[in-house]
Amino acid sequence: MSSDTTPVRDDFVVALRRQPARSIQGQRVYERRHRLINTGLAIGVPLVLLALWEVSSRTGLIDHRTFPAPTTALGEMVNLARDGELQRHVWATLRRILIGYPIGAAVGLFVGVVMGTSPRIRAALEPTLNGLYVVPKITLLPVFLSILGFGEPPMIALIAVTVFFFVWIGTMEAVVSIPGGFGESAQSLGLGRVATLRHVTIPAALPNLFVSLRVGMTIAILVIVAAEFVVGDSGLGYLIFHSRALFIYGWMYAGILLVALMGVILAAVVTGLGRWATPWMAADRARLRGLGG
Amino acid sequence: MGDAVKVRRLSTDSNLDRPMGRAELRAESVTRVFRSRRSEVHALGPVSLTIGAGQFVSLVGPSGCGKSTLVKLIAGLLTPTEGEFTIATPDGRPPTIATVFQDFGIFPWKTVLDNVALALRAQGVDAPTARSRAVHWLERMGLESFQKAYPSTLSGGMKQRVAIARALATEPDVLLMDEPFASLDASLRQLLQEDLLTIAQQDVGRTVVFVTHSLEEAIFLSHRVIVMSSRPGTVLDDVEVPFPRDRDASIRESLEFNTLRGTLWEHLKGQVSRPQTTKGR
Repeated sequence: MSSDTTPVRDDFVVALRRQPARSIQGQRVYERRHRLINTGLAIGVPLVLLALWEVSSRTGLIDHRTFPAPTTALGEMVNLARDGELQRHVWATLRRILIGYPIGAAVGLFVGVVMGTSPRIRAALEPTLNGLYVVPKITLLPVFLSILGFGEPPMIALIAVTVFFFVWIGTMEAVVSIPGGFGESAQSLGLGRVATLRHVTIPAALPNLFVSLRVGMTIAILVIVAAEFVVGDSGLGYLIFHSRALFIYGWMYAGILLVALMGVILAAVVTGLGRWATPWMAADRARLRGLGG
Repeated sequence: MGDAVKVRRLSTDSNLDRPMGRAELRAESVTRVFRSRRSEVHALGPVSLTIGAGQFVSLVGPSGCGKSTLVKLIAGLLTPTEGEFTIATPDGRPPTIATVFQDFGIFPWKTVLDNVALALRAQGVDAPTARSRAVHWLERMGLESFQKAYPSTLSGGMKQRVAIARALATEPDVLLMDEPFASLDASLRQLLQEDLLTIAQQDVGRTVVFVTHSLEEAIFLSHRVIVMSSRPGTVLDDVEVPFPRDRDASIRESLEFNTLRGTLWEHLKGQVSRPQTTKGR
């Protein structure tokens, strides 16, 4: 091989070589193995951690009362599910999110778009809303309890308000940061106010808007679980908090696991909706995935 | 080929019933000043000029000479600070104006076909007609197989073709082009220039204002080249291009072409080097 690359000048010798690291066939095998290893690690690491936990708990290395073995916790979870208690808690939390989140998101979108497109309304409302935005939403729970009484309304209101603030600020910034060139383009096409909103403003803001919708979902779960710690007699937050009081740690871990699962699924639903709503971003997403590995 | 025959080529539009030349543009001592809280930039003027109906006029000048400002004034995206800008039509009806921008012109969230159709829908054309006219213009720009593609999947040259197709689909009385080929590589640029020349020669009634940095491009495409001074932009030179309407790519090689380019460059050169005299060659 090296004979082809003998230098033309006979007083020169080859000082550096750049050769293929592996054959094309080898590259394909390498890539497949690479993917397999990554998938294996993604699944393997949590499994190993769980196994370590299981063993440590059973051998008494850690206190099995505070850290029951995963299999024990799973058993207790199945027991709880058998009399429908687990389902009741899951449904209570889910229901609050399914009612509160859309209300907060819809109002946030509306106010965000209005404030994003009208500097006058922005000037009027932004300082006030910014002031309220920095208030930790959970501190509003006592306020809602006093206004709306106990039961579902204060919980739903809390979620709606939390989601509202995230979606409002995200939407407003998304609308404000649309490049001015798109607006000029719309104007030169002769699009009216409503048509500009529909064909330019909203689609231009959509990708960023879905980022805030997803963050809003995560925060909604956080806030509702915290609220359930202190109020009412249902929901995963209630389950987690009160099983600790009853020293039934298996239920506590089951509750934590289910909150995590609910968060992952609901966030994935929002992401999926976002993909469906922004098909033109598919190429960008593919590029990002390519970079990721 | 006579001009009248060419006008009839695109005969479905009511605008085309009118005789040759549908809109005359006139600036009368127009200036534009951009004010912000801290500074004041005198971008343009005073500029007085008349662009005759059916003329293809290029504006050339150094960066920041107010070429784009002038185009935005014509498009109605800006108002003059002083002076007046008017557009006259044979029957006093407001003209239709289409603009091709350098970027942000086409919408990334709409497919190629929807981008073009939107321009027609905005003018009140019904959906099926808008669609078929959009398809027609995409075919003319060689984009028929990309109708359903999103702009992000297209090359820079194809995106500009979409922008041009969208502007032409509305069959505007006035066509404004603000450095439409600036971001393209040299060979693609030459190709699109030739396409544009062909299209411009087919509809002689249209008034076109074309902004460019390139003297070659300006001379090749237009009937008249206006050289603008550096900021504040004023008319430095106003030259009739001595080639007939029916020209083709071969004029690029002619002696006249190069002589004219040389003359215009002499005028433009002083403007380009003025802000940084030490670097002037």
